[in-house]
Amino acid sequence: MEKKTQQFEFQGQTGEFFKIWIVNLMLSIVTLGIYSAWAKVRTRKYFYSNTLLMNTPFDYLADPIKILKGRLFALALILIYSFSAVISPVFQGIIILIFIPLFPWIIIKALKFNLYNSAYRNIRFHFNADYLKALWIFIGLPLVVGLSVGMAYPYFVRERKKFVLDHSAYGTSKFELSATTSQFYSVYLKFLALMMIIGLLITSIYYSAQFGDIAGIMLLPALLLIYPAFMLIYIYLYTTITNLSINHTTIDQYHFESHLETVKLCWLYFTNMLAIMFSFGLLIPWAMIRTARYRISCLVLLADSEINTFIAAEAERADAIGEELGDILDIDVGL
Amino acid sequence: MIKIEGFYYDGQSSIQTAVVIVVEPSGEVLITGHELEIITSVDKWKIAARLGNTRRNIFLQNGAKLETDDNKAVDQIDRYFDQNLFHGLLHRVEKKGSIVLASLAITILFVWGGIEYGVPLASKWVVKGIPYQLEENIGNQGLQNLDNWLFSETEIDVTEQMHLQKQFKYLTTFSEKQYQYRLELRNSHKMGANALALPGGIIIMTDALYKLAENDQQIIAVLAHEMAHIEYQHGLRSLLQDSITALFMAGVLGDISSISSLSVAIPTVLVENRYSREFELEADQYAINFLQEQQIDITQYTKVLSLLEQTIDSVYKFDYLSSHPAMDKRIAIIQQNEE
Repeated sequence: MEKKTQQFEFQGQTGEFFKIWIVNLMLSIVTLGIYSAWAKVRTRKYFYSNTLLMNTPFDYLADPIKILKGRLFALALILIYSFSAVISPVFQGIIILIFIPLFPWIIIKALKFNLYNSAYRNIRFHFNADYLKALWIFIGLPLVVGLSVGMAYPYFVRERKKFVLDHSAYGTSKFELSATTSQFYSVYLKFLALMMIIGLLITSIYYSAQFGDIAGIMLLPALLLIYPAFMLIYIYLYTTITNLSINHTTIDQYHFESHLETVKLCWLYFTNMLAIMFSFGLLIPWAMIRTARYRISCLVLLADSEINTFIAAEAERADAIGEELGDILDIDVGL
Repeated sequence: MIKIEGFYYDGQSSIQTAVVIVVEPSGEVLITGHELEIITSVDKWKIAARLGNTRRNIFLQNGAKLETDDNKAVDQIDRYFDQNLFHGLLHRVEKKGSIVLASLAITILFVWGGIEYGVPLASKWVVKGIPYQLEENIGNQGLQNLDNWLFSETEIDVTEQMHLQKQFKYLTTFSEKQYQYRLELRNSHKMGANALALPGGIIIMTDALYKLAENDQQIIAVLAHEMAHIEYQHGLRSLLQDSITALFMAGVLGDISSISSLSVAIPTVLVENRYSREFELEADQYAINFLQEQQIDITQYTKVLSLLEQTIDSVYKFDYLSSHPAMDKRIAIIQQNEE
């Protein structure tokens, strides 16, 4: 059977978004930050509504008042934490102990909120997970990672991704991550090998400068290369993990394909950084639009059957777009 | 009568039905599509706010939704039935060139004002609350690290050292703060001719600088400059300003998304260098005032500065020039004082 593919498209325009962005900033400044909740919704809505699948846009439906309340809640937590330090270290310790079990609860709430307010064809996404499971993933597993001196880290990353995806749904259709633990381990092993090579290079350059005849002037360009080298490796890790997760995500008989490329993404981030730097932030909208355009252009939906007939045949149930879309649209879901 | 083409979704499934929406001047609405006919009215639906040219949502009462690309027609309906004034306003604001320009100006002004006045003021205020004891601890710790890393013991002979300390003692009587000033003489091949100030009252001078200076007056001028850094708490202030600037920029521009928040922090490096250039100029001014009070010729100061500049070899130039204003610029400013 031949597989049908549907490419995700992004239609946002820099000029149009720049105006929305700058008016958002101005109104946020003038209202002493209160408008920023509305600004957030407007920005996100712009990116969702310009992301199209089968010529139909996604939708972001959050209520700014709720975001404002969420921010006030976060601010309250930060203030409680800071003031606890002033009162006494013991009191601060108690506050931290209270905050730890609160953390998984906050994550569930955030995921619920983001997914519930994302929709496609008037059907919302959902997130449903119980607290104990989240407690194990976000508090228990990090402890295991610590005890195993990092050996369990790839396992933790995979479990975290699986937790988020397997509890996400589009309408009544559930997402599922089928990538295995060993696939995650093999990515991290490659990452580790690359890190060691760079680490060896740096130490050898450093020592030859310290004890050899290489002048300090040679050290500078070598040191300047460290940052891009690490950035390249980090982005390599990011693209491989993202591609691996998306390529193994299914919903009903649909699955996804992601082909982000490390070098392209690296170049994108590097040029974004330069542009934002030299424009003192004014090119941020341009950077955001071109990043979204590239990332979304790398995402494909695959189906065994004709997608349109599927939708027509299957009422109540629905077709699907992944939580990973969150990564693409830069939602806080990615963790 | 307005006719709009769009899509209908019932909210129960993801089925998309192409529809034609007809709105009568009376407010009556007729939605027709394949096996679909709905009669409703404009007071029963809710038109979403317009956002650029993205597809427009119209929410119907029973959880169903209409989607259309015909923003112009929807705006027309909106205006006609006087709905959604606030949201319509937002889109008009975002479209209007003059308002966009004004927003740009307000934002730039705010960021500039914050960096120019807000951040230095905030750091000055915070630094006032730091106890002397803490500053001294920071300074002592710093000296210990530098000793391990850069410095060896001075090779200046003891009588000359005594002479230097005596002059330094005289200089510190002009201090307006309670710092326990001390002059530390050190030898350093890596550093060359240099002097530096640590928080809490420690001033370090290298042997090379001592040899470079042509007379006592030039040395006292450099030491006065370093003392100003301590008196004005420049070290701690620049530390604080770094983090306050980053916080400020992240606060204003940072909420946007994770990709950009990283890069927004980068221009702050330029700003930080600007602050330290300002500190250098402030310290120069302090030294000039001291020299004038002591009736020492200011040209001694400019001379030692140009001598210093000549010794800075290419290796350290990059680091020096980035945070210090160009030496000839500083000298020019100092010379203005002579007149």
